Amino acid sequence: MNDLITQFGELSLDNVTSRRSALRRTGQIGLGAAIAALPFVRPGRASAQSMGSGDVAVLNYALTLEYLERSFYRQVEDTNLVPAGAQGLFTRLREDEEAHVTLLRGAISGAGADPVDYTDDDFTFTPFLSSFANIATLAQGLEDTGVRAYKGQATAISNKDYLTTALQIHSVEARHAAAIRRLTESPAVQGWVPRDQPGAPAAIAPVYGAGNGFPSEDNVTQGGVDLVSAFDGKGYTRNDITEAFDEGLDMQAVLAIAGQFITGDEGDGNDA
Amino acid sequence: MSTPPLPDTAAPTSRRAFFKRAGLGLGAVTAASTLAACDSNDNDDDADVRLDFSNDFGVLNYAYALEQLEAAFYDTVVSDGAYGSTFSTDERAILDDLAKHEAIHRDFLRAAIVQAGGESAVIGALTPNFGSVNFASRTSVLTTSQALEDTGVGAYNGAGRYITSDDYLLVAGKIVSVEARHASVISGLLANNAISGDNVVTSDTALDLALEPSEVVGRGGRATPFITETIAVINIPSS
Repeated sequence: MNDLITQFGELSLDNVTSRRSALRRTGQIGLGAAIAALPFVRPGRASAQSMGSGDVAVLNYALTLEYLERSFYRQVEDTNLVPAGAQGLFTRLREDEEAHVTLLRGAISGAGADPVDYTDDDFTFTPFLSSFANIATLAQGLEDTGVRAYKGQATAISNKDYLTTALQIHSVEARHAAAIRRLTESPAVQGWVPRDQPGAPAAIAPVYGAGNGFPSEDNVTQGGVDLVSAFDGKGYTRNDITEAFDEGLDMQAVLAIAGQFITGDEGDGNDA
Repeated sequence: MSTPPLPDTAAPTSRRAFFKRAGLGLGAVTAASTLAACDSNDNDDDADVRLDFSNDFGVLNYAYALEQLEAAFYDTVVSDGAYGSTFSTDERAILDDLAKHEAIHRDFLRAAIVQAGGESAVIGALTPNFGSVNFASRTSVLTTSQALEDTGVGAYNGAGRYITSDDYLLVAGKIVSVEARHASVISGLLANNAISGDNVVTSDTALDLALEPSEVVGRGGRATPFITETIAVINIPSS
């Protein structure tokens, strides 16, 4: 908690304002460099939370990510930077994440456990909220993170009903990720994760990297076989093969990504 | 533009590493689904294909059946004489990608099943029936694509609980999210900001479909009209 107060102390209004100005000035340099210069990020904050054990821990982990996404889309709406053509999509995504928060809280409570409790103010996305291009970039990163996170936990869930529900959320996150990616791609074609992520800012790059027990998204080895070699002559490129499979990611790697945006403590709010 | 490969029924060779950790034994192999394996005591004995969900081969063959269907669909789409005029450049880029992804899924699943259980463990090539589709119509193709992709997502989501091997469950997860991406992009082509067909993602809980096999390939199932063979799924675990 003291660390948190210290952190927020660094985020005085003046500092934020000057940081925003700096971002505007460095707009041509790239978001990655701008974010690297910011002091507030603290990877791993979420890992300190009390998530319970077993399936409840997985559900609370999922809930944490849903809070993160919900807060993001709510804060995005407050910027008024989403162009008219994309507002319907962003509203839809916010509503879906809100529904996931409600659903997971209910599932955890129904299991007789305590859901983690975050408020919108526990998350800070400031450097990414400076332009719609940056918003879309982070939206894509968060959605792709969500897809990898749920996938990474599929084999850790013991209750079959929880597994089915997690899979039903997982594929909705993938639908989100695809729709958002089409906003960031030029031309606006792809909704799938290609072999490389050119220009991904530093905060986003780990979304596509390797984790503990999980390969990076440019992986072409499935079932222990290099599919580029196995399918040689079939007309598939390496990129086709990487696109055809999304990879999972472990909890620690995901929380390192998510933790960059978690600046408040769980449990000190009054979320409903 | 290269044409995606036709369905490959040749057995892969020297793929010993495929799912070597899955631990499926010979008992499972002998119980695997087979084409037209009739059992006079079974209610589904008239089905052309029986998928036995008492082991993972049944579930994998179920996925393989659906990937065959999707791959055949997109192969027909991109091979149509009017393809270049029916779709925009961007739309063709998308459909070309989908054709590749589904063909890769199909080839991968077949190879995985054969590697783990041998040729007797994998179902044969299904005969798609796309008689209801007008391949020179953008709307007809895209709405069919949307239906197939949404159904595929729901099929994987519903079957996940029946997979016993962690390796297979993870692989199914790797594939299903790509199917969901497909469904989302195709839906976006049909309606601005749409990510699915109507009544697919629930409005109150934002959950995707989770379909039982009977809802997919059974009588009246969502994929049934597109498959000439009748498919019966048997021995579905009760929990």
